[in-house]
Amino acid sequence: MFWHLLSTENTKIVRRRMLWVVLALIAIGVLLIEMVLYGAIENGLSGTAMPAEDRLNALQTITWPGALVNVLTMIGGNAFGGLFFVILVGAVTSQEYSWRTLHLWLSRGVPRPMLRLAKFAALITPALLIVLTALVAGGVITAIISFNINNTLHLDQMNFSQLFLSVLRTTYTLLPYGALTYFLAVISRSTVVAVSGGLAYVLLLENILIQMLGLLGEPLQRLIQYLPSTLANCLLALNQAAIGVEGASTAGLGTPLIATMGIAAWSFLFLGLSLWIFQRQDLSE
Amino acid sequence: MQNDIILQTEGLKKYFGKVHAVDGVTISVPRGLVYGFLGPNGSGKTTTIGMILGLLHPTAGSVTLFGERVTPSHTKPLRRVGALVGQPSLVPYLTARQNLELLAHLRRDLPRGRVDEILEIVGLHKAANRRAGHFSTGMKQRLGLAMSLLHKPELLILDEPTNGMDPAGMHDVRNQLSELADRGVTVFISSHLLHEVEQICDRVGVLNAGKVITEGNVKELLGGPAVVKVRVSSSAEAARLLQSLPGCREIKPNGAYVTVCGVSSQAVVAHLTSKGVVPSEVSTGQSDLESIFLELTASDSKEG
Repeated sequence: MFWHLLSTENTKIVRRRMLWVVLALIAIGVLLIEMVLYGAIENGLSGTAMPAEDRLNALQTITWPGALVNVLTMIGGNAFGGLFFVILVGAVTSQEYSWRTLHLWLSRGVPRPMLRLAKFAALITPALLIVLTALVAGGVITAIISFNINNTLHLDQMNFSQLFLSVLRTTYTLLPYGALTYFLAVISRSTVVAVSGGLAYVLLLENILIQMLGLLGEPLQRLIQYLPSTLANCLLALNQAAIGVEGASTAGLGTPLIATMGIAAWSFLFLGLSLWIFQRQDLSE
Repeated sequence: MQNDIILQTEGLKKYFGKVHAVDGVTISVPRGLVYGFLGPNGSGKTTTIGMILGLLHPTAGSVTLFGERVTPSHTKPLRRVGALVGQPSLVPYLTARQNLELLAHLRRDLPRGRVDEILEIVGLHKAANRRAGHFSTGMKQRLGLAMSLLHKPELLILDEPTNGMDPAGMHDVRNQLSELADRGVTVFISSHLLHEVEQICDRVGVLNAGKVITEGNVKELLGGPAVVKVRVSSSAEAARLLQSLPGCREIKPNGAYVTVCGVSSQAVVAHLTSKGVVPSEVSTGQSDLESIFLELTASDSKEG
């Protein structure tokens, strides 16, 4: 029954107009950002005598293969992608309460934990689509820019299997933010609370927390490396190394294993809390 | 018709803080019957149904379906149940057909073409490809009914199924429920439309202030004492005079008429004539469900 439920939930998400609006906004956003970056770098290159190393770094961010890594970093959980994923998860999850579609499945004998798990698992599809949309939109525009600047895409430097892994890694960094929003949607049953709570964490609270922990010194300072944002940065830094971009810095970040386990721990924590609360909820009119 | 109990609640309670929404409801629904669950607004009908469907956690008591206990943590027996509670649960951005196909996806044992069949049954085949969110209230109810019937349930639980429907729609639903009952499907229906319930139900439970005040077969309830109705020049005066007639009860002046129970029409006419009041019209009839319901809920409220 779980797989049927998952398939049903996937169908529901994919048929939602909201998903395609979000993906269109992401594509437009990425195109605009890359074009602005290109304009700024072009002006910088022509206007001043830029050191060779800075010039190379600047060009790497808008030409293949570095531009692809740049796009994936931009769409990570603690950045642009996290914001859109929070909005999507908040709306999709809390509207199930107002539409009473949860009642529909539960009154047909679907176990509550299975329903919640299926709904969470189905959110992986939009997470993946968010990353792929950004990659495709960013890939197309930076391919044009690359040709314009280098007359080549440097496909010889590309490792497509690593690019595939980078997409999965980037998608993975979205999960703790999605799980937090999912938890807020379940506990509040409100789109406004879930979305604003999730956005507040991504945009504000996590940064404040990092600043505060930084000021407190050791050993509390070490907790920074276990926050979703730092864990995401650790995995996103792997993307740079994997695609062959030089200069990837992992200073202050944990190991990839810790990052992977940390993200899983945050995701399961919020998912577990959501299941626990949902099991006790009364679903009245 | 088998007489085994398909749905049973025992001492079911649901308290929301100090509000006792449901306070010890015990009912039993035999297989193959149409059971009417009646009660005024706020009497606890929907809350009781919510607990039967595992949507609400009972404060106390139990729900048994097909001999198996149902709780929000154990809802397996509900797979044999179809339900429509309050506003239908629909995915508004999907069409009527897509809504049904989603449900059908969970039940691989459904025959091909069942979605089309059920759309035809509820009269939505022409609107099958329209988004459910754009439907009128009555059409949403029809779709909700289709969703509850899709998997051919053994027990159908309906809470105000004709809400928002036009008279033709209500008539269609009534006919469908009668057909289902004829095919052996047990129907548990909550409604405030007592005339509707009277026409299709075999057994009723009446709920007031969270408690069952009566439960029984409709025929037994309607088979009570005959009502004598007389037309007089002054109903208030006639009502006052009838109070002295032995056995006469439930004296109700209503416009130009007075209705009484417990005595024959001859006794009423003789008594009034002897007191100088000559009725211009006399009729007798059985109580209808509405008058029984109003009487029961009114007397229960007074006692409470």
